[in-house]
Amino acid sequence: MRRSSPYDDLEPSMWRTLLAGAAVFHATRGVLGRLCDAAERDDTVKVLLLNLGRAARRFSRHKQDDQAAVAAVVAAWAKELHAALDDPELAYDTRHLLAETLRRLDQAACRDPFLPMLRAVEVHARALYGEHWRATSLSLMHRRSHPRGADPAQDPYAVTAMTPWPPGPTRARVELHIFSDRFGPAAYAALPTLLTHECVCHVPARQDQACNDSEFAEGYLDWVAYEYLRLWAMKLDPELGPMVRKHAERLRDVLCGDVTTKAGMARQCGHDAARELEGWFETEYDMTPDESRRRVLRLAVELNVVDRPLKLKNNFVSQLRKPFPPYLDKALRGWREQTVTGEELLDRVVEALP
Amino acid sequence: MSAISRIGVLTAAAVLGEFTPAQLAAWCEEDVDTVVDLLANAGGLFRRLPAAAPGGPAEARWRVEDAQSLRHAILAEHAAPAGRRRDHAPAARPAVPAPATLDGWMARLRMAEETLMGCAEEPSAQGRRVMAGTAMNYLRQSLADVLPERRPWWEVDPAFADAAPESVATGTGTVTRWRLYADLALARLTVAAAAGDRVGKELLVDTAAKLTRPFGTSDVDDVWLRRLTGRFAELTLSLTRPSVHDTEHTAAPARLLSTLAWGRAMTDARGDVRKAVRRLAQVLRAAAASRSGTAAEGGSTCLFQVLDHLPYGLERVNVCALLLEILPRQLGYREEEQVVPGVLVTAVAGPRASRRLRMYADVIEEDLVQSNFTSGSALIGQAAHVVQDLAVTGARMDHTVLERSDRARRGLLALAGVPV
Repeated sequence: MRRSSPYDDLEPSMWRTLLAGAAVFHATRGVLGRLCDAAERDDTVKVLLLNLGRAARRFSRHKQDDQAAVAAVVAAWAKELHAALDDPELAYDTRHLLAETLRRLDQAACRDPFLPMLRAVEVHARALYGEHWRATSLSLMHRRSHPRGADPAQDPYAVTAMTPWPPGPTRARVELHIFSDRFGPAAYAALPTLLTHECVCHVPARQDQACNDSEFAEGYLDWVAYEYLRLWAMKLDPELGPMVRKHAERLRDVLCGDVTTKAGMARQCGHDAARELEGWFETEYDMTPDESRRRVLRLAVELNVVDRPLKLKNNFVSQLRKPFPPYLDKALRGWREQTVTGEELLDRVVEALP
Repeated sequence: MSAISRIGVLTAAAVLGEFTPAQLAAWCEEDVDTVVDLLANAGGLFRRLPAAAPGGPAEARWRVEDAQSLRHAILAEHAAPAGRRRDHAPAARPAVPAPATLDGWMARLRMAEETLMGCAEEPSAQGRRVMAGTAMNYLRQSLADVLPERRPWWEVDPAFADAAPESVATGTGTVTRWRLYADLALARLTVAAAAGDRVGKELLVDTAAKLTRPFGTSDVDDVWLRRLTGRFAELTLSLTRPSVHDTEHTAAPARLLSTLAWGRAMTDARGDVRKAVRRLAQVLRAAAASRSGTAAEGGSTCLFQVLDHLPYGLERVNVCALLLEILPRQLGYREEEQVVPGVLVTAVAGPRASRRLRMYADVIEEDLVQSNFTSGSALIGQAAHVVQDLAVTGARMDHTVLERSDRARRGLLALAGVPV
């Protein structure tokens, strides 16, 4: 029975709060998407989910070990579900959903769900980057507010991630920062998206600096990370996969909707650039949308591990607006024909500077 | 395996060319076993490579055997009846980009502006050059989108801004042509400053005038306006006052002067940012149009320039007003003109006074260029500290120096917003 947190930066009671909530979400992940949707239109489900969070916080303070805390939260929530099911006025589909949730709750276990999520993403990301991959470790941290200070109804993603810079030569630490008061099913479903972003964009990156408003690292690569997540979602967890895809789209809308900050502008410029490049491959080479999209992904992966200044990579992204400048058009064709490497492509960008 | 999944694997293989099954699986929705099965049963489209030498990677590698046939196979799969695929297709997205949106246009314009203002924090000249190039790309794209005659963005010259509409509606407000002018000028100045090139006074004077014109309503607030104007002031001063100390690593002395100039303008405008912008623009026009210093012994500095060598060893100098505050009274000078009121002064000084002013300028600039601080306020604080040290040495000749320097230091710190 664990009495301390497995994460150095997390107090035991905070760890138990996150663990208990995540244990319930993991056990019920096959119906979690429907629960989330139902909460938007049915107050009974909404209150149930709020009470789950309250129970997690209450029992985490009162119980002295992880297992007891998880068991207490599960029991308390099962009791609430039973009470809801006793209501004769309950809508038929809600009743069906809650009964299914209750059935799945039996599978709730006192196991860290966060690290396995990272490891699952890492398997795929390592395969992308090969020898450039850096082994990861996970830090789980608590934050005291919503990352965007947003209305939880519009932005329920009370979680962020980062990879501190610089990473070691062969290792990198991924940090998940969770606002436990708002750690609901949507935030849980967004975790694979955040971890994929870190693993695709930052863990293997070779460059001179980190910058959260880079149109390359947080824009173009972010778009690429979403595409990889679409490919990997069902392999990461077949039960949670559909919900992960859905909330990845929603989170993207939330983040891209904010063009008042430089980070938001960089994201939008980078996403636009990736789409322009995708369209270029499609029209210039008569490629299928599938192939052109994967060419964009491949170029991103290749450029990410070229050890060149991030500003130069940003400059490359800023030129991806059709029609492309002749030198860039030629260089990209060379890259497509494998006569120009990603490194040489960036060299051409330097040569073309004013 | 569904047709869509099969297309995904074949397409990923075509993109990669050579791969391990695990690598290929990372590029599609299928797991490794399914991928291996497809590779082995693809009718000669792929070839398994011979096992690696001992010590090499253990996992088998595969290669596309016939790229042309693979492409045909992919297209043939795509040509299958639409209904067969529709059921299995993952959430489809439009592959061809949508036309430029207002959001995208505004994001590029703002990104250009933020990148240009971010150059102030970039220590290396090459870094600033790359950033200015990035900003210029976005600006050319923004301009190309609103010009009546369509042309590739990279052919759009900043001068084409004359043909831009007077105002562009952005959905959240407007952007005027004047804002585009100001941004383009800032980009050109940033490139010139990073490359160490000279800039015609006309451009500086003209840009200063344009800063006072209306910029429209989209995202223009006092903070933004203040940052933009401050950056322009810094560039103007660094371009008109190149310094032997102002190496590629920093523009700190110019930032000190621009912060002082902005502080004075705000004081004159009683805190009204828009009035202060007009005041500063007026001052900068005068500063840009004023004469440049000749190369004195050891080269010009940002805080001290010799304009003329006069009879009897006198020199006409352009100097930071702050240095005059700590000059011992025995070392006489005569003020001729306030180039930037309270910040830069043209004066005629005797040889000893001129040497002493040059020494002060050297000490302060050397200290500033080694600073890790980037904000104007921090540089003011740092300069105030050095001024105090210099005053102590000057006080050996003139006991009033300490009192005067104390007054000057308090004035400086007040401009930096430090309560004294």
